[in-house]
Amino acid sequence: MLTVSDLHAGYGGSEVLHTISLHVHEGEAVVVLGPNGHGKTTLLRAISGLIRPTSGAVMIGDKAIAGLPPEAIVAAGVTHIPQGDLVFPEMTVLENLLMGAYRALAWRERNTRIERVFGLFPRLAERKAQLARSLSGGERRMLALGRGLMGDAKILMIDEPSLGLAPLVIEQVYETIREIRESGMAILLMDENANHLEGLADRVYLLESGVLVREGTPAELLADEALLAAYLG
Amino acid sequence: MQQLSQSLYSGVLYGSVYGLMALGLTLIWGALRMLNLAHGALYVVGAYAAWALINLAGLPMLLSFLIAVGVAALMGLVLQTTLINQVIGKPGFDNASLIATVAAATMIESAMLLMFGPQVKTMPPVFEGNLLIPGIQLSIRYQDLLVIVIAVASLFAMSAFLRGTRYGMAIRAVSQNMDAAKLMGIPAGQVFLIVMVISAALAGLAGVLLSSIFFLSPFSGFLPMIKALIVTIFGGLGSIKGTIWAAYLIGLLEASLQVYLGASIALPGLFLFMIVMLVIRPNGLFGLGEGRRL
Repeated sequence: MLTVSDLHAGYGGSEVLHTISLHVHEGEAVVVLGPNGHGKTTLLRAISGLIRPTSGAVMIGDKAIAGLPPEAIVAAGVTHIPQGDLVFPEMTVLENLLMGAYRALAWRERNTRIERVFGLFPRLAERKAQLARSLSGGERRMLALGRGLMGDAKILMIDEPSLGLAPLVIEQVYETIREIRESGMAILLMDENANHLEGLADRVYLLESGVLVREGTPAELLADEALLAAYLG
Repeated sequence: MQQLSQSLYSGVLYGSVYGLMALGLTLIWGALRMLNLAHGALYVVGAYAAWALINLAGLPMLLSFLIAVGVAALMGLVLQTTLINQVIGKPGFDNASLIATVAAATMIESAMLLMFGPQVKTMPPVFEGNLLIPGIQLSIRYQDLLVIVIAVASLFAMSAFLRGTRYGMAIRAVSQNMDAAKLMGIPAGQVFLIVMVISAALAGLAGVLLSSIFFLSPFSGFLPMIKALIVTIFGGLGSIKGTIWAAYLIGLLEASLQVYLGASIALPGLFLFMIVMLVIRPNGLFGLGEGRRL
């Protein structure tokens, strides 16, 4: 489904990601674990086209997408769900969701999809007429997730779903991601700690200082004591 | 009493047209973060196109107005594709776009000067005659009423477009968070083009409407642009609701200054007001900070 080979990317002259290679199969959920500031968000931005990779290839199936504009990458089926600060603050919850279905095919289905998102996040249904800037951090997170589900994704790339959320909300968000995963959607998820690997990840990569240092199943990684100490918060 | 009703009437008239001008400026600021100093030139393009279609081609007035707005929109499209697209997204965009739009304005105004000469033109009114309101001794020209009706209807139409349609919402999305908009698959370049065309059409419409009240010369778009700038800054750059409120407040202020203190006081008075206002509320009337736009 998604194949990244020898990807280099960064901002201005400074390189953040060095020779990243990873893949996500159809229907697979892959988690990239790494501490803050080690390139997780940059990796997603490079795949979704918000920044141009300096070199390397990104493929969706057999279509090369590295260096294409973001709208072409969205069209290829890649949906990047950013952190909750990337909502449209002066638009209502409903309008934010509608923007998730901006592309013509999705737009025709917008009403049934909104019902589905409201089913997953009843809180969003309650707040649908509210401006996004008046939402709490957790609600914004749900909004970003729900908005990502409005399009025609073949793969969902989710950036740190738990960042800055209350523990109860975190459980809720991961529960929803598990539900999405069970529907057969391919998922690439960035996370800071290993608390939620079980029942979610098929495979895990470790990202440190812009390099993928390890790959394995959750069981393999959770069996490694030194690793656990570092990644179980 | 007569003075008061006169200033209210003129204020609403000015405010409606300033609203059109300022809405265009604010849309461009919101989406492209660019100050379009060719906005006054687009006003002039619309006005001369209407004048030429009526007086040289002999077309009916309302049809000429419509085509003239189309001509201004087309000029916006040309500006965007030939000029703005060259500097957008490049380092130094702030300065480059200012210089590019001033250059475009100079070229357009000089072209008008060459084509139509320096003599001022007058546009015949669509409707002759006045409506007399006896109790307050106010006489309202039908022509002014038409201007107000067209301007207000256009403002409502724009507002409905921005709130209720896919493209309108995409313009607001791009203005509020460019990265998030890109992640939705919204093509930013296409949105910029749409914004520029709409904005040019609004400036052209303002030119057509005001030229039936004031004289038209190649440079008569300058003052309306300056006033629209005052309006957009007053309303909080990039805020649509703020812009429309500010347009009417500035229109009423200008009209009151004219009626009570004399025409020569009006413009300096507006500038003084804007300076005071910027000291008290640097983010404009509705106080929206960066990232809280449209």
